[in-house]
Amino acid sequence: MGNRFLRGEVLIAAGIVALGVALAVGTLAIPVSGGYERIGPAAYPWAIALSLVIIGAILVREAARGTAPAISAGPGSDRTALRPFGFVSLGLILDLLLIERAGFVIASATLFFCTARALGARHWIVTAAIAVALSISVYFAFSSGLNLDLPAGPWLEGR
Amino acid sequence: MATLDALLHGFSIALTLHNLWWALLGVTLGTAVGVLPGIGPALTVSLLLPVTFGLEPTSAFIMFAGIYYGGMYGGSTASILLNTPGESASIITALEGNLMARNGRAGPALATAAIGSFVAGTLATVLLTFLAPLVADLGLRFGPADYFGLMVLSFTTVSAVLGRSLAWGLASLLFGMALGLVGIDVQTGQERFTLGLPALLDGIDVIVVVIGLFAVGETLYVASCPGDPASVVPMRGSLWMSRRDWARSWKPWLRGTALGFPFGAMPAGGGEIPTFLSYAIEKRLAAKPDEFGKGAIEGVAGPEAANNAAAAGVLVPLLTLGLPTSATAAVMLAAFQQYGLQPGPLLFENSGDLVWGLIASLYIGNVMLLALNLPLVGLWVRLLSIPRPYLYGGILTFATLGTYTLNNSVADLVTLYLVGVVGFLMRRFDIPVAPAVIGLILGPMAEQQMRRALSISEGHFSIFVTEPIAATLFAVAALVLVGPPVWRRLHSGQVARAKSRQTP
Repeated sequence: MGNRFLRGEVLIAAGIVALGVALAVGTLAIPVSGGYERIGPAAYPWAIALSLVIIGAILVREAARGTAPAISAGPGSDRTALRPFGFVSLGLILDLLLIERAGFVIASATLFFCTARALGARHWIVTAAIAVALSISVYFAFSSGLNLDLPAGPWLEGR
Repeated sequence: MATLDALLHGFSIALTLHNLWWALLGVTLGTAVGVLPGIGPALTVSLLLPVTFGLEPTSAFIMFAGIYYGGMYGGSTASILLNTPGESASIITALEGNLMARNGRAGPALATAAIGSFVAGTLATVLLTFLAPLVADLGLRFGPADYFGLMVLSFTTVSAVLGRSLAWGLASLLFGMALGLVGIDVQTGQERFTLGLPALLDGIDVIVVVIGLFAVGETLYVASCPGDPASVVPMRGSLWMSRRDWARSWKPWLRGTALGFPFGAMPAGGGEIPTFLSYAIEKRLAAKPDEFGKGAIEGVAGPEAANNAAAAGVLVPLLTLGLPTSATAAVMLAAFQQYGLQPGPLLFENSGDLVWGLIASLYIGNVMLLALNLPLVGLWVRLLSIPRPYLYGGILTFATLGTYTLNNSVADLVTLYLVGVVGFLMRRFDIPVAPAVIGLILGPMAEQQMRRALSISEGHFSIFVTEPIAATLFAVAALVLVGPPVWRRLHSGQVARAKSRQTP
């Protein structure tokens, strides 16, 4: 697994501590009125914030010392390839930007195309054709068939 | 006999043509998603929730339960033929099952898995039928402090049982609980952690988180950490089990059921542990233990029965106490809430039609699944040949569709992506996902019960130790947390002493 993995684990554990601290800061912002209720809306968040910091600290220590139980990373390889990660991300971000502007069909076809490319689809014309065909059939199946309210976009407006 | 009457009434509901259709749809979908990698019952039920809004709750839950049971059947097919378990509860099946398939015994492996699943599923459903009303009666006597204790117990067991260590399990759980805090506090109307964003006032939707963790996280993982592509073992030889296969299978089926059901019914994290135990027991009891590791049929029959029995067991705390103990159960609880229903003891009184219709449909679903999985196994195998890029492209298309249609909000898609990145990291670093899902849905309920208990006791925390049921539950929860490390320390101390004696 090597050091890169260990360093990542320390970072994640530190992130858990940071989440606890952020939660504590947020809890300070909850106004507590001294009403008849003795346990106000801030008590439970305090408990969770504190637990996160403690567990995070334990995990940082374990990870830094390398005493944590080994990771069984499953069938995947040890290295993380950033390009496909970026492609899937791009697809999802374009989807949320496009869905209400260009409509469901275009947004989904873009997402499908980016994801399939990230996973190694070779023939890009075939992939694009499948992306468009799937998005159009899903759109009509769900909007006419199941009466779901999907954004049509300028192209399909009024159909 | 009241139970039998209720069950018969349930059958009269489940056997209508309308509900049979939804059960068939559920088990078919369930088998398909069980076979396919990257998509499981928790994700499928989440994706279908927006579609089922217009449906009558009884029909919707009959379908959801079909998906849940079907996923267990389908998972074994993928494990045996592809060596990539479709479900975490099928990991053990892959061990012996895939070896059997490589030795040309795919048929008997698939058959013992399907028939074992049927036997175990049916027996466990019988246990569910008679146990559930008793637990529901018990639940009626539970006060807020007891419920809080029960939830704390399931928090600790779920964290301890799933994943590689208790600390990582707790981290995952707390992450979910932290997400659950966002939104308006129901008791005081106070905004919490909304960052001033109106989209966060209603809180973070469990369904969006489940879809993000399972669909987006998984796709990011598969895309960026490609492993060796697994190859499908072609089906050869007879599908039928020989007389000898039957003789070697029936006892593991029954033992698997006996292990699986109680583990599922206890708040102990669902189907994984009993499959591991069943495998270990069958290995020890086998007439030829050396066959294990070369494709022993007992190693398929036992664990498969155990995971199906556990699936039925999980429904006991879910229906009677409103307590989810697996990711799929958590999603089903979210589904109940979408319909304005609260599972728990009162569900049996107020929604008898739904509960008993659902339970009756489980018997029917098992029969359907046996019929779907044995003769039609070739059809499901063909699903395995869908090229990965298109499969995951499709998964993400449906993931965004399901998320968007939940509230018609782009903000949910932003949450989906962010949670997906977290899901990727969890997958990458082997951090269990299910505790986060359970923490997210159960966390706010636990807070309500805690505050209710404390307002009964006028703020005295002593209520959690003076109420006998609550005190017991807290004691068990504490034992789960501190027991294993202490035991390990004592044990290693003994080993060290033994060693020092050996080398004077």
